[in-house]
Amino acid sequence: MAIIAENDILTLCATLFGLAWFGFWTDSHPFGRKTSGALWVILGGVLLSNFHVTPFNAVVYGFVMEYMVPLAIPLLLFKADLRKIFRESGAVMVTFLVASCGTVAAAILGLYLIDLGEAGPEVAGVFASGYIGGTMNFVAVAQAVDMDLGLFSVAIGANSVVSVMALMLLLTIPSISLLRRWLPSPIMDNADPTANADQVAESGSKMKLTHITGALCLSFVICAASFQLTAEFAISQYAILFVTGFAIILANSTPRLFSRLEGEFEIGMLIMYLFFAAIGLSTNVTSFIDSALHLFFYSLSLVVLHFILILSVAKLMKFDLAEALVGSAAALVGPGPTAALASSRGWKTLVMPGIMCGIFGYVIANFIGVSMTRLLS
Amino acid sequence: MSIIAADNVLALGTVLFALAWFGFWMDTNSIGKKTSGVIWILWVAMALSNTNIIPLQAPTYDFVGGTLVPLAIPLLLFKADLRKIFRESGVVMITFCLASMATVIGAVLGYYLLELGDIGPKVAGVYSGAWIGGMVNFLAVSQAVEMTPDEFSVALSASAVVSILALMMLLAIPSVRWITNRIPSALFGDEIVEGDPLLSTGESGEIRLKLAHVCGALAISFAICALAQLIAQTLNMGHYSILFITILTILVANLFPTMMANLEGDFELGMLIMYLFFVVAGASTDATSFLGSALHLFFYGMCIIFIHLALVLTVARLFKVDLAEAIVASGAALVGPAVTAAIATSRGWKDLVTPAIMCGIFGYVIATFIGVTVTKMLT
Repeated sequence: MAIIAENDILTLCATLFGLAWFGFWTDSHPFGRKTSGALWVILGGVLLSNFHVTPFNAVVYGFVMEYMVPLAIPLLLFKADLRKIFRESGAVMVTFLVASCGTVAAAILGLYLIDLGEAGPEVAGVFASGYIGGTMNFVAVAQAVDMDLGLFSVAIGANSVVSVMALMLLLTIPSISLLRRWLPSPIMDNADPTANADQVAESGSKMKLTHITGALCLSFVICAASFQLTAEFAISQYAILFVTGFAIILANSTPRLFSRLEGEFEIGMLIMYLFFAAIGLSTNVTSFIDSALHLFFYSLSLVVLHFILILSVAKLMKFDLAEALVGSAAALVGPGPTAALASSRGWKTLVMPGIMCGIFGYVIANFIGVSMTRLLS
Repeated sequence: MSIIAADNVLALGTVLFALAWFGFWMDTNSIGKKTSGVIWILWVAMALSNTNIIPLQAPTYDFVGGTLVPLAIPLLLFKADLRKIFRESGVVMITFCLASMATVIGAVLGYYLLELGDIGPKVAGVYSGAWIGGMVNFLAVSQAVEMTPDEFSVALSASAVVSILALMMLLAIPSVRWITNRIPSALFGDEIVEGDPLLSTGESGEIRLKLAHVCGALAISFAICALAQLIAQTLNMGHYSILFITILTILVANLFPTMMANLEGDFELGMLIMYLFFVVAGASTDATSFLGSALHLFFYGMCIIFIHLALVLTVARLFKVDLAEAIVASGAALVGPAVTAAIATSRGWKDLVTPAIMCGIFGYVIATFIGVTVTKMLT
């Protein structure tokens, strides 16, 4: 028996928010920024539950996973204005699409390299979506394909470790002179690395209650409509895809309204972190220790294959190396780190395209991941 | 059966947040500022449930009323640093304490003057809480004395109207020759800043949304609530857990005052939860019983306000308290810190702005205990 009882809602909520707090706190430190707060949230949760401080199952966790996660998806997508994305992404969009195809191909090839058994198709879909979009897509696809919770927890752990390695790789590639000679890049030659390295430093949004309640209300509408609709057609497992679809339609029908909205993305992140906490807390380590190594190597081979593919295509099609890397980063590590990568290297013209492609990844990744799982199984 | 089923969590969530949104939006425009968003929330929610669009009872409502509401109390009280309050409130604090007593006397006298029936003692306690502290205390006392949602909505609607009338009276008093002749004020005659005092309240504009702060504040609130519940259950006084929450929160606020002062967004989250609760309270109210007793409670509320103002002004005349100070102290009790600060600013009483805010916050700290005591005494 755990120290905190299953039905002690208040204490369990305190634990969930405490873990999320810990995650955001580590994110604000250099150490956490290099390792991703999400990883620490999950790890903290795993420790608490496996030392029997908290239970493995509780209504509260179920509530977070069932109701709150779908709610987060529209919140994270309200800023996905497709017209703006296509207008501002420029040539990087091409490399990003190549990179996304690279991820899909790598995810499928990886299945042949590492035998994942029956879970293979699910894992391939989930990882592909994670390495085209971001964690949000990883979570959404896992829900849509009904991934086992314990497996999910291990998978997302492996995913975040490998993401960090991918980011480090992305940061090193421009310094490898062999590659630089093989793939010439005028952008890199003209780069001014001293220029505003922290241009994209978060400006911080204001907390306005009308904005927050409004955004949550719209998000609830989207979720309610999606769940109702999918229940009618008996395809409720795909409700998340409808949520994604409706959110994108809404975001693009009144883009100016949503561009002025403040704080909705942060609330979405908060829900995601609560979800990571709930996932960590419901993971029983002993039963998944074997699959952890498999998933780690699968994930790693996916990223390596992705790089080999994108760099070969870049060579063949004569892409600029900087553009290829930003496209690849937008797929692998998402908009935030990509912008950081581009601005730290002084590729000023690529910062905005990097962000735009990363957001576009959020938009498409759910659909790609779910279709992959369907096709492979 | 209502159009939206009682177990449809997502649809009810939509309604809850839509009405809270509506309430906050009303608070930003001029009609809403003069009438208070809270009333609109209550009435629209009541209209929706009594026309069977949303259910009168639902698990979602219970979740908001049971689990979320206690959370709001720590969030709204984290800034109650008593040392700062006493340091910065100055002489106004004495007048404020008198004003608080005047409220209690008003509530008790009114209770004996008017026939209020069974809910009398509860309303007396809740109103004392509200017109010493504010909405937080209204909520906390109503939970501690176990008001039903019906009683809560009626009492809250009536009190919201009365609070607005009280504010108008506070604004009018400095212009009444008869009073200014009897209670002179050294502060009067300073330049009067033109403009609607209500429109200058814009407090939450500059708050930034920091996830670490929001998460931390919620985690501490949950922990306080869990601990308070544990203590209350061990002592076998479950329905007073709100009082333990208040005490624990004030402890935390005063043990780590600098940390709590730096916290951003906690108060706003507390407001959000309160507004969600107002929706739930409105939705659970049966309109017929509402109309029956609303008028009674309105008169009771007016009665308290009149007795309060009469007492405060008499005492001010007897003890030669400056009229401006008396008004600010009375305002801190009746309409709370933010609005009182706005009154003081608009009248040009610059030295009274901070004391007004401090006394108002002190009201939040003490009012729950006073309210519950009043109810206990009258039953």
